[in-house]
Amino acid sequence: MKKLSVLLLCFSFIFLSACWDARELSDIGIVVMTGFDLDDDGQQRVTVLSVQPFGQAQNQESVATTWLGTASGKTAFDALRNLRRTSTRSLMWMHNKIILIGEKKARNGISDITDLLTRNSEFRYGNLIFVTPGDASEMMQVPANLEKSLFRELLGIIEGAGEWAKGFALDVKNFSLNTLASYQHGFVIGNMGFYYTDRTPFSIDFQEYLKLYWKDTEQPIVYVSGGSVIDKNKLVGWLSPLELRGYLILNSKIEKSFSIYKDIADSGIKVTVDITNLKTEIDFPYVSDEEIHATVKVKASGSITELEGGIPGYGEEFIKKIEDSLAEEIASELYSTVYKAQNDLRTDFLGFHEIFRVKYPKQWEKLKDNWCEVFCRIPVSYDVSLKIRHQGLMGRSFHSED
Amino acid sequence: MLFNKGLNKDKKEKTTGDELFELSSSLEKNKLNLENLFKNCDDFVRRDFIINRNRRACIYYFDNMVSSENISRFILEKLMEPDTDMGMIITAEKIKNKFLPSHEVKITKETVEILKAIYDGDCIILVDGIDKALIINVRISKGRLVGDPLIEVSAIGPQEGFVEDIYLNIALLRKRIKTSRYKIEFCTKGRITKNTFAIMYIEGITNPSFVQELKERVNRIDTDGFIDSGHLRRFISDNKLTPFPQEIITERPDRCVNHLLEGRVVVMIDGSPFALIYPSVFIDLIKSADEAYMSYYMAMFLLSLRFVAFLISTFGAALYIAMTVFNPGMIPTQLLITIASSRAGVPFPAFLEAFIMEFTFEILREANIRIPKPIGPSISIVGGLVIGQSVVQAGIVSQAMIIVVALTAISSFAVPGYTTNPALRLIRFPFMIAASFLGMYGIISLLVVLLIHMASIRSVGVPYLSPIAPINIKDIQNTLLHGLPSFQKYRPSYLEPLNPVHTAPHSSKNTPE
Repeated sequence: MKKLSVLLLCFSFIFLSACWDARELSDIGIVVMTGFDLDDDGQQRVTVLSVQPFGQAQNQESVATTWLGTASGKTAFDALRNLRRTSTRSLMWMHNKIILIGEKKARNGISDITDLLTRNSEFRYGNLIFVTPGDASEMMQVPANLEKSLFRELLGIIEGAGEWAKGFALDVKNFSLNTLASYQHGFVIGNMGFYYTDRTPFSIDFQEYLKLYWKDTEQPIVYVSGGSVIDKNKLVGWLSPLELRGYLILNSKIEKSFSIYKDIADSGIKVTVDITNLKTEIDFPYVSDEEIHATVKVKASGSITELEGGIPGYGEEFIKKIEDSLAEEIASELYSTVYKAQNDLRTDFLGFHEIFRVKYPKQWEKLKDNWCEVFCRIPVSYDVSLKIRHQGLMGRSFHSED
Repeated sequence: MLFNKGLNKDKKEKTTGDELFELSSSLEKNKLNLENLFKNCDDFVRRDFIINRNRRACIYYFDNMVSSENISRFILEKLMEPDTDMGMIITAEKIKNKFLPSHEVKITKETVEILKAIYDGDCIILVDGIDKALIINVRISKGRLVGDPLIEVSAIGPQEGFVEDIYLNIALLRKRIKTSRYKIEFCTKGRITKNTFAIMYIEGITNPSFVQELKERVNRIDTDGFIDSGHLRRFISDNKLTPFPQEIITERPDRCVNHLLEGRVVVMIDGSPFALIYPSVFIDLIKSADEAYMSYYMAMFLLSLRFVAFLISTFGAALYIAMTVFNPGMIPTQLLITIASSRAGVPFPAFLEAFIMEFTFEILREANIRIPKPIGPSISIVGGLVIGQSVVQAGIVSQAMIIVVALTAISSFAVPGYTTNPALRLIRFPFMIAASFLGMYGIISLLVVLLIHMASIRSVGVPYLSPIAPINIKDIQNTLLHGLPSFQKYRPSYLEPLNPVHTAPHSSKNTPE
């Protein structure tokens, strides 16, 4: 009896387990980037960049080749499965890094993608989602410039977005949270795309240089900047890089720093300040049944990184002047983003509703059904204070008069 | 079965050893009996001589086991001196007390004792007219001298290792423990080989129940003989089918002393340079002698290092199989691409690949032990360079696999318990099989089974996983965090020592109050 129970226990170990399939590493293709498009005939199109490891030749470095595959199907998952028609390897999405949605697909609704990404266990929550103007499949055909593969190049650019604050990467976790929480009111997804130029970056290698020198045509180059506004699962409009920055400032999503430039015409000074510390607060100081006022309070600090022009006196007064005029600049940037939300796109992707809901739950119950209308009429005032903490290594300007 | 049992009984009586006889006062009769017993033993030497002018006597010994110089100078020379007058009445006591300037002389009538003395390398003197024999200790130890420990090498600390001679080994311990409470109890076992056993412990510290239990277990053994202490383990360990050792095997006297002070029992057998220490727990496998000689931080670092090495050597290959075949999502992308491209041309599935390499390594290791020393380096060239490199170049095994095998192999050498208990190495094969069928899940389920098994092992009644299961925080501090002054005070309580205090609290206070 005891032996039987031990045997049963052993069998339960083996047969009651979840079904995991064994796949030898030499038979898999590691998908690193997936693009979703909508074909003209209404079919869902999927494009993947997959790293296919190939064996090493004698005395040679191990080789991995990137495979670009595309297939269409009735649904996105159907299309994913149809990829197998042309793929030599069994594809695996556990290492997917980037998900790209084409413009057409985004305008037609992305609820199926949201569901696919969260329901399927092979897509990890760390995936980064982007929307591209044009087709995702076209974007993914852009050859890599310096790195071995396009996805590595894009990952490098995305990493840098935090230092630049005009690009933005949203991961699947926050994407699905946003979809749940802000379905009614929209949210922002980062943009990526490509443009043609004859000034392509290249590795400093004489052979490469010769190739480039003789080839004078324009080359496509990828970028990550700007954003796209999703409202009710559909793309409703684009945000320019500066508007995206306004959005990031409003939501305190600045990762590292951003630089801001102001040409102070009346004193003939051009100044650039690197903002390293930023705190934004949205508040509603006055709420009544008829009227709602909103304020945006920004506390920022940074350091001067460039200063040009004749400086009358380099004292507290002068710094104060720079601080004030740059604060004004930030405020105007915020204004243009809010203006876009309230007038052009007419959607509260900036997240005002969340703060309002927490602060005034009773009024929210009354207003939530047509918050969109309410939001578009809210007057917003800006209170930006900037503190310059550091003037860089140079105390004065080269052209200072004293 | 019944029939067999009967046969065995017959055999047993036949092989019980020597036919005993009674000593009589007639020298001729005694000689006849004794020489009959040692017929055809050509190294059994008899030397006849005459004492006290006319009394016949003879001396018996095994050639090569005695010091012939001592026999000549201190026995024969004294007894045969022409003018020695022993008087009319000659008794054994008189000879012993007046005429034998040897350090150890015994008088006995028992033939068992006489035979044992002869086997041990003593000589016996028979005198006509006396029905007793004189046993004189003239042993010399022939064999290896005390040298470095060969297997349990340690960087710092004492560099002495046990040898095959049990008396020399005991001397090594005795000179380190200067107390009358250090007890050594001898017994003889083995119907033919008659090995000398020593059971050692420190009275007042060691729990007597361990000593009692071990003595009983040793006494229960009835076999032809023992070749080595490893042979003895098979008889007295609690669980015979487990790869985990239930005793510490050591050739280092300093380690023996350390464990004696903790309250353990040391069992030694003549002819083996390895002492067995009971009871022992799992943690002892990864503890080494030199921990006690190091600063706290270094000892802690090395202890955790060895534990990690133990994990790597047990699970390394299995994890490789599980992660590449079942859970490639767990490997960072860059690493996965590297591994995958090195795996790409390999014709075998990951399990077979791992198994081939681990097996090859086991062959190399085995060959390295057997190979004569002068051609030893050639095997490392063939094994390391030829197999290691060309197997990758030929595309039979991936580079990643070579790294994994090398890592598991090197890790296994870092665990002290592995060198004295090679059976532990085998654990990784079941894990590899489990990983190849069920991946990570297989490893975890087998680990559960293994832990259940380990928890069921006892060493002389002490749970094998103590002090972790059953958990005892104080013991963990005292054994694992060993070395920190505040944690050195107590002996491990799972050893149930009679005196739990190891170090007085004020010992580490160096500043005057």
